[in-house]
Amino acid sequence: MTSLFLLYQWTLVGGAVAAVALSLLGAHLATRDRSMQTLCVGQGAMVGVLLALGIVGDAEVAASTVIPFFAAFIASAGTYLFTDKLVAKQMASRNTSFAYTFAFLLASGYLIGSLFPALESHMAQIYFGDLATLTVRESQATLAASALFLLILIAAWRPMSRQSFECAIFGDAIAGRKAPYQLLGFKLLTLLMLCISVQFLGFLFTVSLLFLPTGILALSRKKGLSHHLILCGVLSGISSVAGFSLSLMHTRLPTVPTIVVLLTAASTVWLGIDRVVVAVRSKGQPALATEAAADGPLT
Amino acid sequence: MLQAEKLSYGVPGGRLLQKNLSFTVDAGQVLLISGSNGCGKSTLLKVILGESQAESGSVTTPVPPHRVDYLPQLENTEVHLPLTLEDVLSLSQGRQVKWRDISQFGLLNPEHMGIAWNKASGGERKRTLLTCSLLKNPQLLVFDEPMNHLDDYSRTAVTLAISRYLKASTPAEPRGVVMVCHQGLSEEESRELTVVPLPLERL
Repeated sequence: MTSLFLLYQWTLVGGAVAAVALSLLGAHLATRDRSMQTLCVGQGAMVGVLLALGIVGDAEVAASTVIPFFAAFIASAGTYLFTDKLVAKQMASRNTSFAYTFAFLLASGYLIGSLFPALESHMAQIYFGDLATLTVRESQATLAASALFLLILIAAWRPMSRQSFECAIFGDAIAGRKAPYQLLGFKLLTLLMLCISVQFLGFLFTVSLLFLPTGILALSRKKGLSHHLILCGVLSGISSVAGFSLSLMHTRLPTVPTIVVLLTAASTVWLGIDRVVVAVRSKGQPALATEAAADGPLT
Repeated sequence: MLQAEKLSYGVPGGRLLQKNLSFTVDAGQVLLISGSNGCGKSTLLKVILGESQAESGSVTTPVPPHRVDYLPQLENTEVHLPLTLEDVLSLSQGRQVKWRDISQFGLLNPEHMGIAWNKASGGERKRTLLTCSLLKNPQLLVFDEPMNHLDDYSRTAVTLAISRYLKASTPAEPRGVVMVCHQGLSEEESRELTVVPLPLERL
């Protein structure tokens, strides 16, 4: 068993660091109300990877991961620009625009898979991911890129959070006017992270780690930005390591679905503990005070 | 602080909203833009901020862009992140803000700091955003409908905070305010501030 863990040491660490970085990015994307758009952009990246794999061929790709990455970047950037244009100045029903774009890209991915029969094995891997199939070089590349992204997310957490807040309450146009280069930088970071994550870790891993922790933990009674971001990162990192380890120990367990189920369970259990702590702390206080402590003032 | 000469502007690529507007705002004064829906109040703010082009005429200010703070209308009231009002204040300044800095404007109490943004009332949110603006120590404050949906208590608190801010205006550090308020101000509020009224009508 120890030799198995040694064999996958780079993948374990790379997956955990990517999980932490994705969970932090997801909190910002959700705040900017871009979750559905991110699904489209991720799907766009996947179409790019599939197209590159189909055209270049398996043998070429085994030697290089560069072409699929660039294809993913171009396709996802195109999807990003297209969806941005589609919903510009559209305040209502944005999600409908994102939903039909996603449906189109999903169909395109399947169509590409059918046109290139050799892609069948890649299709499942790119959709559902399998960290165990990553080569050492791919794992190291994922670790290096994710560590860089994580450093940026940590170093810029305050200005990034401020812009996320301004995007949410004033709209992208005004937030973008206040700090245009920062908004551009955030979009570029999102694109790069999505492309690398979708290509190496799969669509399911990417989308789940982006939105599951922040979505569930935002329901916590304990408020505060730093508390939320730290919790998202810690639970995502732990779930990634624990899920991957479990799938190594029990070969019938698929890697990414195990990580996703563990992450959901860990986040939900944390919510439960959080509510019990709030209830115990407010025990003996009058009902109104309990509600006020949990929910803020009754104004 | 701000001067407009024969200013005409409209919806970009669309109809003309106002023509030949002229006004002067001196240090310590509030330009109060009022009028019915669609008369071009918010567009005038964009022209003043340099975000929209005027059709003709000019609007000038000696205040450098980084000393102008703009508080637009809220598009959404709730956010996904579980921010407290203290988080919002700290994020706006890019650092942890001390209570003595926040308290000088008289808009918030210590109890407000731990309140979740999503659970705060409309008045508490606006008072927090105004505190964020005032903490930046701008020379020109531009507000779009700061009094909308506020109760009497919050309107008074906002008026007094603006009044204190303007009274601190000096020749070396002049301060002015541009405010859109479609219903105008009450008599009491107008007494507290030195107002330059700019009522707009639909063309």
